[in-house]
Amino acid sequence: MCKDNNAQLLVQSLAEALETMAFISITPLEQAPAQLESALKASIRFTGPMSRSIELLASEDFGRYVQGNLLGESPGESSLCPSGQDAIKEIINVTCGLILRDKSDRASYTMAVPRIESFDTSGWAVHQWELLDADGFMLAVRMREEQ
Amino acid sequence: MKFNLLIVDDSAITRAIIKRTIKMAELTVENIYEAGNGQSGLEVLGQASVDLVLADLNMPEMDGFEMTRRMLADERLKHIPVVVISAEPNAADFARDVGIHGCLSKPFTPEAVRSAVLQALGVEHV
Amino acid sequence: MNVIVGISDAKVSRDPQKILVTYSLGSCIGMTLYDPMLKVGGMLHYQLPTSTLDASKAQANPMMFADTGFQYLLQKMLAMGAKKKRLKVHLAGGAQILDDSGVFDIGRRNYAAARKLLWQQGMFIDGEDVGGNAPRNLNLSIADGSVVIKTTR
Repeated sequence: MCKDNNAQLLVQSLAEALETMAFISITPLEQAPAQLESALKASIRFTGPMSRSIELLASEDFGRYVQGNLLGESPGESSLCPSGQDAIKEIINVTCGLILRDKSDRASYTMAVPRIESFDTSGWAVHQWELLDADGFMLAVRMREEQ
Repeated sequence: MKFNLLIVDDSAITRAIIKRTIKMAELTVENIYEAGNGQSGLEVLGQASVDLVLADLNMPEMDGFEMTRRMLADERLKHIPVVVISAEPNAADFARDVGIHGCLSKPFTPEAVRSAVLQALGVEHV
Repeated sequence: MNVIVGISDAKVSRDPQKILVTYSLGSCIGMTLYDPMLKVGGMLHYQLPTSTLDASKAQANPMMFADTGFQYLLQKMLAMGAKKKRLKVHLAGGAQILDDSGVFDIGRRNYAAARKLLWQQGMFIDGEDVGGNAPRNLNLSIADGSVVIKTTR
């Protein structure tokens, strides 16, 4: 089914973005958590022959960890963006580019600018997300149709 | 010769990564200017003498496509080499179409940034 | 004269007669550092990406892991007078050889670990032959710093 291919492409693209820029490896998460701790939601929209939103849930701690790796510093050492939000936005931006790059009709796609917001964890529909382990941090990603 | 560089990217982290790479490469750099979008990039170019622009494409306010087009249409700016550093899937096509210097896809490695910068500045790799 | 660098091992030399050699790099990474001004070179052959996987093994043999091994090699090189800014870095190995689970791709992790450590130290990779699925041998000539990486299959 189409959805599975997209989910696979999304996870592969996220893996490449994290590995190349932040030296972080991801693996599927064996056990889904019952409840999600407070999280940031980074999202980016692309429009074209297929229009979708990519969403990534991650903790602020993960954002700071990514930022430290991106800059070659220890976590917390940097004063650049204490919340690590910019790092997560850049990762989702790069992931989106990777998803679209291999498409033969890539010229007809437009990427929006990534956004970040806090995510309401109450009633989190875990089954709608791909769950991943990234160096011990939990990530959740999904691609969904534009509403 | 000392170089002046301009990094245009809306992500402060990406600007910091590129800056770190340039410092690692031990180029003789006078100034590294930074801008968060195309409009601020053009403002820097209007005030300072810049030898190389490293530009993202997908940015708020004025994007890198528009900034590059305006540079190419401006007699005073069109000679300045531009290297696009972007996650945009069309980045390479755009760079080729408008005939600008180089294009680096995100995610990039520090080694790729180094060679793109050295090449654009015409500096031998030591 | 060849000086063999074993698995989870590191050697340094300033003898221009010597060639540092390591064999059968599969998912392991072979890293060479060379200071062309002093003609001092070193080689590390590590197996795993981080010492946090097994602190007691890292204590017993730091060269088994990327982080502790790299630190060991770099310190040795600096102690011999090499300058970090001058060091030429080469990497080989990191092949995707399936382990028992078939999932945990240690070769990729080993390669990412090397890149992370070098980035933290502000060092570029000057040459590499990594990934794929064939084993490799790695040579570093102390006389001129030339590196030869051969795929052995």
